[in-house]
Amino acid sequence: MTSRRRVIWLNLGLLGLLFAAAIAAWVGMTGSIGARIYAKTLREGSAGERCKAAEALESFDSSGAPAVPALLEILRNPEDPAAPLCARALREIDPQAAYEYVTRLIGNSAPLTPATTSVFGNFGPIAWRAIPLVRGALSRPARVHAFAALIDMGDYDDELIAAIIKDARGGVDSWGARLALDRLGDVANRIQPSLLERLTSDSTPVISAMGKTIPGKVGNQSGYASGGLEGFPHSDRGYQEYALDQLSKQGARAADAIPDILTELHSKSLLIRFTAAWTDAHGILRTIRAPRASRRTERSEQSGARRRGRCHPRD
Amino acid sequence: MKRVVILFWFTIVLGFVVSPVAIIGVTAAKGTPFTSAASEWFGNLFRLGFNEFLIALIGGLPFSGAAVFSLFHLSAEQAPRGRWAGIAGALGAGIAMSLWIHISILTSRSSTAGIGFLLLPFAILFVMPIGYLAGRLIAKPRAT
Repeated sequence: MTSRRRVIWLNLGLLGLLFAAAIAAWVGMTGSIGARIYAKTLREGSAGERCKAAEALESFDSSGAPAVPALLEILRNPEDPAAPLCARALREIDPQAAYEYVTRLIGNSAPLTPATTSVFGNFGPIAWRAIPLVRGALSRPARVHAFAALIDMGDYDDELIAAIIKDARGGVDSWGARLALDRLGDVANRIQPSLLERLTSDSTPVISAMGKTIPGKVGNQSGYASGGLEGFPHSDRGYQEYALDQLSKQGARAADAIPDILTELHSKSLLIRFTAAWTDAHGILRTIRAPRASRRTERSEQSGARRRGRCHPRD
Repeated sequence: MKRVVILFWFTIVLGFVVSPVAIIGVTAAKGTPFTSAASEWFGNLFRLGFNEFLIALIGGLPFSGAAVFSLFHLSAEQAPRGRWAGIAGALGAGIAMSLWIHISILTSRSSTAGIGFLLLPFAILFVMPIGYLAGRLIAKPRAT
């Protein structure tokens, strides 16, 4: 091997080592090494750094176990700005530790503050035992924190929806209540139809409009018109992107939206045109072709049956 | 050969540096102090939703390819001047494309603009051969 060739292979080897080190760094930082580093930040960092570390830990699952003691340390004070995010991280990493913490927090004699309510909410359904406690906050004037927390914990009955609707109609926290309505959409498939009907037929336009978006998130119950997305090409660009993204996931249920999606193919924005083409290709058209094909098969079977002098399959 | 090796490592470093430079630059241009922008970038290296490390890696891959190409292409006993010009053209085109994509994504108000990072290596790989040819064409009349 000539010296020139040796130099080439030496440098290529070093480059290979560099890439191996980069991959190892990636794997390590998204695993237990990263969890240890974030745990250190949780103990020593500023409020902002603690929030960022807690947010990062959400994606760790069980590999974030080394950070559990640090998360619990912060959660000892639910008023800590990072506490809600720590609750979210803890429920992803160690649900059992999260449940035990919630049980201890319920037993705590301290009064229920908005921060504690938010911590319970961020634990989600794991904090179901705290539902009666948080429900008590509904009778207070400042109850908007309780709306979000109860919805996230899985409690959304008549009383809660009535309270949200009442606050969404106006008042100091009306926007918070409207956000709670939007949040209801994420759990729409678990809401009783009668409650949905109450929302969609409400006399206040903002409530009925938001209520109409909820069925759009429920399987087999909505069309384009009732999904709250109708006429989206006339909205601002951000909403157009959102609508196209939603429609691409609705498949054949969004068949009525095809004219509007085709309109978007002529949009001035390259991104909108791209997203519209994507929606067409991956969402609606593909799912519509399948039923059409099956209808064709059905028709040919029917005509074949008639030719053979047999009964119509539907008779 | 020494110059070729220097160019090889320079190209690799350049590829990985474009992304942080663009991200920190855009953040600083939006009004964040430079040191805060740099520490923010560092803090977001492995953070979900940001993944700056992965973005730098994705952006650097085509440059690593160009570096390997240049190592073989220029290691001949007497590499013609046109080849050097071609590599310079390819790097220039690659950097310009990478910066343009980064700045477009970072200044976009669209929530889905980040998808553009997935197209980054392909776009760079597309313009590099064009830059290489342009570099060679520019060097040709000068050589004659």
